[in-house]
Amino acid sequence: MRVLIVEDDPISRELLSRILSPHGDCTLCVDGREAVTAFREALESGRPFHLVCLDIMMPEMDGQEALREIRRLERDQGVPRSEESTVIMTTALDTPRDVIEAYYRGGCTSYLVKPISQSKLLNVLQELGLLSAD
Amino acid sequence: MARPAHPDRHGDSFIHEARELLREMHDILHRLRREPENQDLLRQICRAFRTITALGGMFHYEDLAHYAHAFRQVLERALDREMAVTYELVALCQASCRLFDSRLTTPDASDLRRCATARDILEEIHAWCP
Repeated sequence: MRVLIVEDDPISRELLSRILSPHGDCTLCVDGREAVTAFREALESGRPFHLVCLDIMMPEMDGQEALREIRRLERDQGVPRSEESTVIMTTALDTPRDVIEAYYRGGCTSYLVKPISQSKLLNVLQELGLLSAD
Repeated sequence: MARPAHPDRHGDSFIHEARELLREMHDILHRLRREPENQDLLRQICRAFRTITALGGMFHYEDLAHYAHAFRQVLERALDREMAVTYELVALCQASCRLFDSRLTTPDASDLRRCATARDILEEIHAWCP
């Protein structure tokens, strides 16, 4: 599994990387702009990310905008719905407005409110079929 | 039956934001009824039901989540072109939005799982996605 972790806070970035590294190849980005570039390059090279963990509050480009860009890139490339990357928002923002923005305007797959624990994240990945339950 | 006090600190804003979304869904469904082949509209309404599913789960309206999830599954099949968007399907979606709105705005609204109309609609939508 190819994983893109997008997080400006080094401690959270490290935590996500530690949780996910045993399960996939992790690429780390520190803001939305960097993430969109990495996502585009992966898509264009035919090796798209299976999973994107995306923080919302970040400098340069925030996670909501990055999410919209990611989905736009997929649509421009004609990626069918069943092959879209799984995008999990990993954020401290828990208001209904943020949730609606991410799911409805952005098209995220799941939404996790910090603090993120190993079990919380791995459970979601199992539910989404990205990890087996073993 | 009166609903228990909302346990979530975002209760009021949840209702406000969710109703705003329902208004958008109403407009999209109205258009989808006239343009059943429009994939952008279908994608939008799919996302809207997914959003209601997530909101319901996060903000203690599990019945809304359960209900919206069933619609989402059927609409995703349509998005994957495994079935067509028909007048009846859109009408069911519209009926569900009216139920959601009434659930959010009626102070004594009961859980949708105890509402006979909701059960009937759910049964119909399940028939589309056995």
